[in-house]
Amino acid sequence: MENQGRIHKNTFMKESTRENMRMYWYKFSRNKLSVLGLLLVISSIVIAIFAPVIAPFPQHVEAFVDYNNASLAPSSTYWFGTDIFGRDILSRIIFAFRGALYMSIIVLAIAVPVGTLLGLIAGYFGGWFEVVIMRLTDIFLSIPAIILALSIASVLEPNLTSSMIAVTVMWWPWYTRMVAGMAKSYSKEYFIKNAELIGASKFHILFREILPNCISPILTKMALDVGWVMLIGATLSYCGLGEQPPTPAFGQMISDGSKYMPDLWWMTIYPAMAIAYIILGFNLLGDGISDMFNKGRQ
Amino acid sequence: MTNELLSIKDLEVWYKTYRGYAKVVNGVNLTVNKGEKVGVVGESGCGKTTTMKSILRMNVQSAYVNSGEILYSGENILKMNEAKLQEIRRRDIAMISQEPSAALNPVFTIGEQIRDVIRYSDTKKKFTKEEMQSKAIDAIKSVMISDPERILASYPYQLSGGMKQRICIAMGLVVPRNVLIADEPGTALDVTIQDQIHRLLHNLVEEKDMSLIMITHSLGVARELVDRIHVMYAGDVVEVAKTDDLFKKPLHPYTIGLLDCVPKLSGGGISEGIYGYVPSYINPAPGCRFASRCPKATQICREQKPSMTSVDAEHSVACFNYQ
Repeated sequence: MENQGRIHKNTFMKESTRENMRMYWYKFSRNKLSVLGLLLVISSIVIAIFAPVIAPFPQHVEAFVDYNNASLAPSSTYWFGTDIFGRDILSRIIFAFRGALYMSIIVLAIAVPVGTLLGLIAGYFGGWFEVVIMRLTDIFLSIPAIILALSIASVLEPNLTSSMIAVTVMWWPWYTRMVAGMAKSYSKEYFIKNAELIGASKFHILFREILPNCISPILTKMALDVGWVMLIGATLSYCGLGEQPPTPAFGQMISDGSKYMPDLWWMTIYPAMAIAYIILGFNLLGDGISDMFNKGRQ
Repeated sequence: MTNELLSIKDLEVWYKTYRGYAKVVNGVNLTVNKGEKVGVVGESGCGKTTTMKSILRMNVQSAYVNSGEILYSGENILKMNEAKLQEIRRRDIAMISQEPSAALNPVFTIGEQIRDVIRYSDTKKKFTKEEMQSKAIDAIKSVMISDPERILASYPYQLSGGMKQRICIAMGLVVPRNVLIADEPGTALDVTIQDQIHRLLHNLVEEKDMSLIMITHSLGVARELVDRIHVMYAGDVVEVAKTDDLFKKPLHPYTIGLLDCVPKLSGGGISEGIYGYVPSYINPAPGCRFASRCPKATQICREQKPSMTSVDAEHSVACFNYQ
């Protein structure tokens, strides 16, 4: 720890938190690739939020046809070309960022807390809790993820919500399994025994003693998973189970374009590159976060 | 005795293992009076820690109490419900473990952890942040650490082992309690720090009029710190005596052997020690557990378990041939 002498001032709590943040940023920014990842992620988020402003032809996202400009190659008006209905690919990609990010965020916002909570309970209490919860996760994990998602999405009405439900259902067991393992090993540690010794409540032990120790792997996995959830989402929408036309989605755009390969290559290549862009961003960011936490703890 | 605070009666703790039950604690009797400092001495693996952990029901899952009772001010801890037990853990009995580095949560500052102890000591009363902070500072000061504000704001990894052990002691003492169980608090530290820690513990316990149960494998440490010593061997208490008595007039062959093991500065050099090993706890022989290593063992020792005999009011021994 550099600057150790400066941690304590009258407002020692705030001071030390700020110092920690600075240290974490230093450790994060030393790896240029993670900074690149952060930039890619921030740019994706900005694109998603300001899509109506950024997109050159926002109206092309809705039901729109313009056969005069159909199937145009990339040009100065249509940077990424147009599809067979004459819609601007760039505008549609920009709007597809929205759906993809929205999906990842909602899925993780449900899967992570649920998975973590179940994992904590299974790992700490053990016994029947563990048997039931862990066998349940085993059942979910033993079914190939994409098949589970496909079957759930096809049973439900094909739209964004049902594909989100499908992905959430297949996503929580990973967190349960990871957290349960950590919670189990932590619950044998002396400091947890000590917390029990001072008569701390179960709630305190689960959320104030064990959970903070598990937070860095969870955050790392989350950052990596944003990309993977998008990929699964794109796969589902490629199969026609995600966002329905005319609302744009990456998978669906690729699937539409693939029929016209290689002549109208821009219909496929650009959405694919957009997926690569966003997934690369989250992966680099995830690696950066994991490095940051690993080096942050001597 | 009228001011008996904690007493263990015929406690038997067994561990469930693959090969059968390991009868680790074999009918231990131990009493602690109010304000008394009691030592439990014995070699590694003789059941000292298991006995102490049973007091707060902190044993691992594979251990179970076969029989006996542990009375704390007249109530049996082993039969208490969770809530009552939690009350006792919060207010009455504190325990200091032998591994200070592992006893602190790595992701919280010392201050946060001490505040948790204070907060849980009285759940009905709402402590203000300032109140808790000043109590924490007092606790840290009482264990002879300078610059308490900085210590409270630092994380466990920033402190040395000796510091951490003092903080653990501070955590045990921050809330006034009746009994403090110190499980070899000096083990992980070097001898100079160990000595400091022991003195500190001794002084603080006297100051606050607490009872202390000190677990150690060194008779020397026990001699300096405690009023009364229980010598344990292989799950049995073999001798109980006032500290001075024990050193002047050890009766049990095991105690004599232990005392003989202390290297002397003049003459004799290092003694031969006690021959052999601690016996297996699974299917132990029916007689005295020390019989196989005992220089005075006779036929009866191998067949019958000796019971505690009082030599005088404060001194008792479990041996057939102690004369």
